[in-house]
Amino acid sequence: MAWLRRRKLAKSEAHRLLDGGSGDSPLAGLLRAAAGPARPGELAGERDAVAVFRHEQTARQEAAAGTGNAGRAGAGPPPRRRKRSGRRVVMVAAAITVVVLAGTGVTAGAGRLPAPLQRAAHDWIDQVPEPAGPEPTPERPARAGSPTPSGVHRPSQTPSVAHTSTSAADFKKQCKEWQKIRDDPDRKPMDPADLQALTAAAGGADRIESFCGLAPATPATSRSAQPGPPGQQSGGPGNNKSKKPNGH
Amino acid sequence: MRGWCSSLKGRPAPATRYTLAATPVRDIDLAAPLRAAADGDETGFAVLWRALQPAVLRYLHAVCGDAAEDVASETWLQVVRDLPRFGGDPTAFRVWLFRIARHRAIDDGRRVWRHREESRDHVETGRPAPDAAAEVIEHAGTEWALRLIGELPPDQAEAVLLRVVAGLDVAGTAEVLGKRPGAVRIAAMRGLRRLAAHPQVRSRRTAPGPAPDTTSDLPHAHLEGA
Repeated sequence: MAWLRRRKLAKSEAHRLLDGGSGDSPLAGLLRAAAGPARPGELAGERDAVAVFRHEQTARQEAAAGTGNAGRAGAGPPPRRRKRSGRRVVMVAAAITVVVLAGTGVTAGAGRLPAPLQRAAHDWIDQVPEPAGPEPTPERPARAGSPTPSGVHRPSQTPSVAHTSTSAADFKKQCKEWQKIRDDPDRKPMDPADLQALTAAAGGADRIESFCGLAPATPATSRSAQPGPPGQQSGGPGNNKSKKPNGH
Repeated sequence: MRGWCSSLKGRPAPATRYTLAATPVRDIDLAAPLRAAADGDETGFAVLWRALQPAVLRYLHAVCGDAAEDVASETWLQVVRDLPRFGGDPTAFRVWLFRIARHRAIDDGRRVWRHREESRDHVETGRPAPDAAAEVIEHAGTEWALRLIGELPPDQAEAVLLRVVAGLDVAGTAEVLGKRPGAVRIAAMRGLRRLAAHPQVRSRRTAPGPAPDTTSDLPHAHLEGA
C-alpha cells in the first residue's frame, strides 16, 4: 500500500514537473538544469543564421521586384519549384501512358490495330484476335516451335491466295457454314468466294476441318488437329491457322 | 502558454542564477518577434533564434548526436524559407520548429541515439573569471542533466526533452513525435521516473537551485575538469 501511495505521488509529481511546476527535489533540479539558460556555444551561430535570413529576404524582394535574380539568390525555392514541376511532368506522362495503353488494348481487342501491332498484341494476349491480312505469312516461322517439326507441310502449302479482307470472325462464320454443309449434304453450297478464302487459309480443302477446329475426320489431319482443340471457339481458327499453313 | 520559463519565474531561489544568462523567453514574448520575422524583420528573427536555438540544439543532440549543429542549421534554413507562409502563434511556431528539426534529423538519416559515457559538448569554460564561476557551475549542471536525459530510452528522452526543454505541452509534443497524447504522457512519465531513480540524481538529495551548490557536489567532475 505504501509502495502504491509512493508511486501515485511520484506520478502526480511527474505530471506537475512536466507541466512546468517547480520544486526542490533532485529531479526538479535536474529538469531545471536541462532547460537552463543558453550556454555560450549554443548561440555561436547567430550571425550565420541571421545572415541566411537576410539573404533569403533579399532574394525574396528581388523575386518580388521581378528582377529575375531569384534563381541566383535563393537556393531554396527554385529547386522546390523544379521538383514540383518535375513531379507534375511525371504524372502527366503516366496519365498519357495509361490512356495510350488502354486505347491500344481496346483497339487490339477489336482487332483494329495495324497488322504488325495486332500480331504483337495477339502474341502477348490470347484473347486478342490475330490480324487478318496477308501479313501472317512472313510472321509464321517466327512463331515458335510447332511449325518447325511439321515442316513437312511447308513446301506444298503456299498460302499465296488472297484472303485479304477475311477476319477471324469471318473465318469462324465460314467454318460454321462449312460444317453445316459437311453435315448436311442437302444444304445450299457455300459461297465460292468464302470457300476459296477458307480453303486458302486452311492450306487446302482437306485441312479445313482441322483449321476450323472441327472433329477430325481423317487420320491425315489428326496430327494438325492436335494444336487446335475444338474447345477454342473464338480463337480456334486463328490459332490453328497459325499452326497449320506454314508460309515458308 | 505554459512554457519552461513560466515555472522558473515562480521560483524565488534560482532567480539569481538565471539572471546570469539570457532568460528563456515565454511564448507571449515571442509573439511580436514572430510577427516581425514573418514580415521580414531581421531583429525579430534574431530574437526567435536566440530564444529557441538552445532548445533545438539540446533536443537534436539527443536525437542525432554530433550532427546536431548541422541539422539545426538546416532546420532554421527551412524555417527562414517557409516563415512568410507561417501564420500560427508562438506556441504553434515551437511545434512547427521542432517538427522540422525532427524531420530533418530523420530525413538525413542522422538519427543516431548515443548513449555515450563521455560528455556532450564540453563546456567552454576556459579559465573561469571570478564572476563567471556561478555561470560555469550552472552550465555544468545543464550539461549533466542533458547527459542523463540522453541516456534514457529514445522515446522517453524525446518526450522529456520536448516537454521540459522545448517547452511544448502534451499536444504539441504528440504532434512533433507523431504519437497520441496518451503515449507521450506515458513516455515522459517513465522517463522522469527513470531519472528520479538514477543513482546520480538520488545522491543529490535536495538541490535548492537549478544547479548544485558546489562543484564537488556534482556527479560530473569530468565536465568540470574540461
